[in-house]
Amino acid sequence: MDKYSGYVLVTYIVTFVILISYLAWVWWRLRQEDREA
Amino acid sequence: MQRTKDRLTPAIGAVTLLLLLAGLWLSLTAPADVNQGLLVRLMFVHVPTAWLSYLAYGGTGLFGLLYLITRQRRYDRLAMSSGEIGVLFTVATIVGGMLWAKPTWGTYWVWDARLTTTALSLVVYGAYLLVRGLIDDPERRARVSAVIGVVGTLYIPVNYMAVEWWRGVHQTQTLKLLGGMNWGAAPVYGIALTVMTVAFTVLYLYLLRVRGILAARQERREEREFELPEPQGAALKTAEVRRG
Repeated sequence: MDKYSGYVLVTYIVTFVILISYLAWVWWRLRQEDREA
Repeated sequence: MQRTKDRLTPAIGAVTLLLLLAGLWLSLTAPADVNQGLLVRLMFVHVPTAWLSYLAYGGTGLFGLLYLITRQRRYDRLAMSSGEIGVLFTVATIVGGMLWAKPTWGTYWVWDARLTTTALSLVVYGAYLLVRGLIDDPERRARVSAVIGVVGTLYIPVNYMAVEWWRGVHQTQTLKLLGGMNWGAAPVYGIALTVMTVAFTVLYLYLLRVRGILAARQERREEREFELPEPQGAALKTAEVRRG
């Protein structure tokens, strides 16, 4: 760990939160579409 | 409705997950750089996210062009999915870039050519998605957005070459597509970057596939609604508006 670790950590967290949120949204919408079909 | 069992999507998903885990392990255990310290680890996610957004914008143009040639709606769905993925990963690229810039350049943002063209790509593809939302007629929506997607793709080489064509603070390309490879850094960095870039490339294919499946189902529902007699169709649409 050095003084830059915080920047690295935030970048990884932001990137993967964006990815996981998008996947969760797609999964939720797919479920909704299935229910309506 | 009977659906055939889709084995390809979970398979791509599993490969993506394995590659991402391997890439993350390599990235987060990479040794500190002599100049940048541990900040170098940020590059192993920043460069692949930028790469993925280029792929996605390229995909929007390619699928848009294929739609204009063949008029098959699946290409329109893939173009839209690709544009959406591109916008998301451009946001991730900008955030990662800003967090790298602060300790190295002393500021989160400068109006450098690469940074400016990356920010503008959000405007171009944000407008692409906005225009799609404004047109109800599916054929017209597909045609208009395909043209925007194709024209917008011309912007990608400008963004990629911005670090060569204009003087700025951003370093030249990490992933050089033109000319010979010249890797001056420690091999471990090259391995981490390569694995993460491959992982994000497969991730793009996975996201494109799942978003494309969702778009196909949404399109089928839209068609069902249009086929229904007026009062029933109107009731369905009202229910949807209420759900938001």
